[in-house]
Amino acid sequence: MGLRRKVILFVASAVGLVQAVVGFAQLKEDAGQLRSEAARRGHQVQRALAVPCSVSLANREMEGLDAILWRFSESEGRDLDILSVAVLDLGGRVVAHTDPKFYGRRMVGVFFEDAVEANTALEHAITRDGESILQLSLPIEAGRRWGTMTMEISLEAVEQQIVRRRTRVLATAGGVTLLSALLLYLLLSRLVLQPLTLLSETAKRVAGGNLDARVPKRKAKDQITVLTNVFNDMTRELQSYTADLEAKVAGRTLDLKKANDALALSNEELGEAVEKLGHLARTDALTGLLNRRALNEALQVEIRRTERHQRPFSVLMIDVDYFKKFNDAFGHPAGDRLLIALGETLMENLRAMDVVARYGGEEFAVILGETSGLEAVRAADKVRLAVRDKVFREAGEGKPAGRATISVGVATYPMDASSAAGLISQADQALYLAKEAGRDLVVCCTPEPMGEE
Amino acid sequence: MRFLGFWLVFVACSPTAEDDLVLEAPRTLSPPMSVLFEKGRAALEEAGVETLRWGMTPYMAPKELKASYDPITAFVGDRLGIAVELVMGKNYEDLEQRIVRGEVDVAIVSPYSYVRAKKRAPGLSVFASHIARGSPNYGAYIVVSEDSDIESLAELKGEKFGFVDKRSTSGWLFPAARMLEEGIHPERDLEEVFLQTHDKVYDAVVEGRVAGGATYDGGLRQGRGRRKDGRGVRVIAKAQRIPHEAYVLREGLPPAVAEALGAALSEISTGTRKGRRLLAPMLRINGFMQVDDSHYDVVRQVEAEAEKAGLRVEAGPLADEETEQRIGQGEQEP
Repeated sequence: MGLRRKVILFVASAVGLVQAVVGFAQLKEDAGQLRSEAARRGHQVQRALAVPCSVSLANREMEGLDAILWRFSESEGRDLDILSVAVLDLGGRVVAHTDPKFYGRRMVGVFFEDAVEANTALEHAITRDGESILQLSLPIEAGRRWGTMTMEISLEAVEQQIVRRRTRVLATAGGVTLLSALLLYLLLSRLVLQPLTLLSETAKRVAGGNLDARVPKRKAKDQITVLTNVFNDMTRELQSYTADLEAKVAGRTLDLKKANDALALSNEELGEAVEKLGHLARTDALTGLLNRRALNEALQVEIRRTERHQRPFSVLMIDVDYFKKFNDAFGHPAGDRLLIALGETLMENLRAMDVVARYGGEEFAVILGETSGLEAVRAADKVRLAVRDKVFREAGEGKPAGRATISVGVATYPMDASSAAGLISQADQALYLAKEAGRDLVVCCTPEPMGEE
Repeated sequence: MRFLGFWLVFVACSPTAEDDLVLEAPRTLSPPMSVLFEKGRAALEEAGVETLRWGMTPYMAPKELKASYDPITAFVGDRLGIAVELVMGKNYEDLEQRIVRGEVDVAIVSPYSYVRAKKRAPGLSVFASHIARGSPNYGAYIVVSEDSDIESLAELKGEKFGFVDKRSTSGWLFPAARMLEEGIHPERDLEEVFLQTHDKVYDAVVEGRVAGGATYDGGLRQGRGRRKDGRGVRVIAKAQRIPHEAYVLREGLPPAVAEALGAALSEISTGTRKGRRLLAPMLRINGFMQVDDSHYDVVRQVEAEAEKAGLRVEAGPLADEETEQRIGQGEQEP
């Protein structure tokens, strides 16, 4: 808008100014012509009056002069605004005047003195009381000089005409200015601003992210078209560049996702493996019972619990009697199967809360939570009897594999030992005693009266 | 021209001689002339006028005046289809009385007479005036003898001065008003005498019986022609120009009559061959124009100004017996 306003203001003013200057120049010429036309007409009337006036002057008919002035200035000079007509004698005195009061006087002014002296028609422009007046004079001659005729014509009508024309010139200049401003407005709008506005709006859309935006093609071959084309090319470039970039980013993102997925998968596997590993570390591979290490951990847990609740717990150390012989007789796989079956029997005959572990070889250990020595012995004996009653069969073949017995050593915390190792040791010792005493037997490390049983 | 706004008939003149003066035909738009004449005649018949009595101020020898006006009145009568009887007044006071009383139907009276009569009989209506010497008005002049030392009005103070009559426009009212403009009161500053006619004023000035006198342009022209001794007068001041005589219709006649008379007169001008035949050269009349009462406002204005300056405007001395006998022989200004 700013640019348009400036251009319109400048050009329209220049056009208006030129129009005004030309108009006023013409007006000046016209005004001159109007004034000289008035002078020409005034002299024409004077020449018409001069002849009969010379006759009256020659005949010394003063009264005739008056009638002549009246009738001729009225008829001949109807188109002129005649203020006064006078006849001066050779001495410059008024012998006739359209205003009778002037009779006998001398007209005041250099013009009248000159007029009486001059042998030719004179004209002179003056301003009297703000009124523009043309003074004309003509010698009255017929054979000889008889006098001088003077005339005053008001140029007010002429001046008004000039003022009217001046107004018209100004109005025309104003009109031309407005018209050229309007034309410029339309021209600039159509040729420059409309495309520029379109361009800037499109640029805004592009800036706003719409890379599909294009400036419509123009037919005109000008700088704006060049600009438009450059802009469109640039936007197209930008669009394809952005498209490339997006494709690349998308590719990378996919790769990353795959990597992430893979990572998540391996993490899961790792967790599972770790879990499995932990499980494996704590479990006996053959029987699926806890291993010795897990047992130790459980012992520690149970010791802390006992300290909290002030309840004793007991440990059973179990060993299969004559396992070597069984192995030798039926083979290691049968031995293994025996061990597995034994584990199952233990689990079956003990409480769910009790911890059953393979301590190593044919040796098993059990933690009986919140169980006193006596209760432990009873539980151990129950287990001993269950094992003796159980017939182990050849796995897969269904053939009976014979019977097995176990010896059990019992120790109770905190009565028998003050640590996990001590407890195991006491139980182991009791187990040794049981072996010594003939096997298939439960021995409590604390000498307790059997009778109480 | 700003000082002549009342022309109803435009006068066009050739620049060479006043006899070639050409009057344009009146531009009557409507109704047609014949309708106007018809209406005028009907109005006259209705008013019971069988013969139009046309009164004249005897400002020339009545015989010559009658001879000059007969063709004009005959033409007007012919146009309206009515007989016209030209009645010559004894003087303009006599005619003023007659038109006021309705003893004549139409009268040609002096401008001042018209203004005075109109005051007495408001029903009077002016319907025409004439153009003479190419001018719608005429001049009044204050003159001294050619060989007098007097150059200005002021020098007339204390001198014997000849006027025509207190009913005279150019022989008293306008020159007296002009004097008052210069600070000279005719009654107090001059020893004024009323000589009744313009020729008597002219002769008295030439012969030195008065120091100065007031008369009109025709008086000057005719005086020059009449004097055989070659002695003349000199104009020392000019009064405001005066509209020519008023053509007046008496009270009680309808405007249709005035319109018809005015229309008939308008047909006569030196612009046509017939007009030139009707208009006697002696009258110097170029034609007629239809005017209304405002045409004579300038007379009322001058009278009011003169009265304001102390001039008594009531009727002055009448002509004595001897002078009265002379009226009609010399020129009598209207």
